[in-house]
Amino acid sequence: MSTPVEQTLIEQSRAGDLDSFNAIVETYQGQVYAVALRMVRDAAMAEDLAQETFISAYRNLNQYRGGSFKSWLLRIARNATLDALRKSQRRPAESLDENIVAFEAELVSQEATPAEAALNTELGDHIKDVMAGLHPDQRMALVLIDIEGFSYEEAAGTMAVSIGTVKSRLSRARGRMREALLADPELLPSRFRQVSEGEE
Amino acid sequence: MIFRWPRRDRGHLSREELSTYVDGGPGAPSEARVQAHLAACGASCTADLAELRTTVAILRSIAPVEPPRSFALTHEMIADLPDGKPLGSPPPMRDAARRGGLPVYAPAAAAIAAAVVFALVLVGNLSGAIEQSGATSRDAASATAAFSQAVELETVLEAPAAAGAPVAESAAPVAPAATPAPEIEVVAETESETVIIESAAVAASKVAPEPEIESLVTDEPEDLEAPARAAAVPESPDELAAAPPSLAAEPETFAPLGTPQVLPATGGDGEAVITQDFEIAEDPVAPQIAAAPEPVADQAPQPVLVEDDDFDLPVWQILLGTGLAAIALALAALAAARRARRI
Repeated sequence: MSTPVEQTLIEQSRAGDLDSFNAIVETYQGQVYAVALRMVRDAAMAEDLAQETFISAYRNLNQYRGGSFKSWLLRIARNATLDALRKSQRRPAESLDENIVAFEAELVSQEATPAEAALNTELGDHIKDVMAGLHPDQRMALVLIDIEGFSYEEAAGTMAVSIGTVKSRLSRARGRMREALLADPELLPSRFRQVSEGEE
Repeated sequence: MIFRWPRRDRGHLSREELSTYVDGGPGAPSEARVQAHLAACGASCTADLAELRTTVAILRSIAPVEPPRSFALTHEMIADLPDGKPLGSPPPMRDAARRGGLPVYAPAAAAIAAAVVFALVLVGNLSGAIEQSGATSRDAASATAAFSQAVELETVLEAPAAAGAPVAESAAPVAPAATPAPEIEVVAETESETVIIESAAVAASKVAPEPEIESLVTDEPEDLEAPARAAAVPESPDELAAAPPSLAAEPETFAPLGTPQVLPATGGDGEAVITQDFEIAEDPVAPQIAAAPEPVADQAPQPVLVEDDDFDLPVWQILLGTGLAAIALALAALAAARRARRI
């Protein structure tokens, strides 16, 4: 459900007020870009997809019928990223892997030593590789909920599926990720490694 | 460390349940249930849960991504739009909750309701309950109609209750039989014989089913004869006025099974006969009170159902209508749901 302020901006945008719409862009551009980047794993493509998302959102703003504007906007981003992934699969020579600048799945740790920072980078790469092997639907669920902090309801609205489906996809994605991460516990930062070692 | 998936045994928490429990998602198992399960399951499930928590913690520790630039729109980006405005027309101003909720689920709810009605009608039809109730309705309707006729006849005749005429316990067939016929054919016979009193109009119309109806209505042929004998006597207006009012007093006894006075043999409707009867009854020359239908004492009462299509339940029509309605509403609900999810 959009806030009253957001609803006002939407109404003004519908009247052609571009500044009002850009205020909305400023609110959501970080999430839109992040989702696109984590899905396509290509920074340049993620930028194009984010820009395309907002242009499409403005053009079709009159189709927004209420509910969560965030979910509606991210749904546009999701569709754009899935289209890009399908195109990349049809053109193996231009696969994303060759053009990956890639995001750094860096683990946030203000107390990380240089060694741990390096491990974080290595772990980040490992996470990226595992995510690349996930089905796009599972990957989207993992990105939205575990990485971007979406609620189950927001994720369901973005993915246009039921909450039960979100839970199922997320469970499978987490399981795959767990298998991969715990297969090489040496990659885990110390704080995580202690937890896993304590269970052995 | 060996990784093992939770077993899918009865009472065992599934992988999805553990996943939902980790971050308190909707429908997550309660803490008590999880602890009880872990206590019963042992170290393997405890390890699985710990590994899952570690995984989620790692994922959530991934640094957020900052956009490399602003994605604000410029007028050049939307130059192709007419007047620089979004395409189409703004939706009507409505409550946001209604936009997102009721229009989507209303068709689905209506489809479910139609499907339930369809199922109930189908089950009821298969069990024969509807047919039985239909027959009961017909009987009740016939009884009601005959009773109404008898009451009206009683009003017209205005026969004194103390006329002393034999009380006819069943006078339904008699009441409407106060036909305008100038002739009264009366046959006073013994109990074993049939007593027929009919108006000229009825006689002319040859109300054939009279005997059947008479025997049908009741298992007490002697009751039928009583009013018949009583009604057979009057041959003059005075006698007619003194005719046993009871002949019309209790017509309903015979009515339930459909009496000839309702359905003349000629195929005319009962009301016409009744009307005719009333008119003739007013005729001072030949006021007559039709006797009860001829009892067929030797025959067992045979049910004669009044064929009244107005009371037949159109079961197949109901089934067809509700089935089609359920399908149409389900398709409408599906289309509405897709539109709601579409951008």
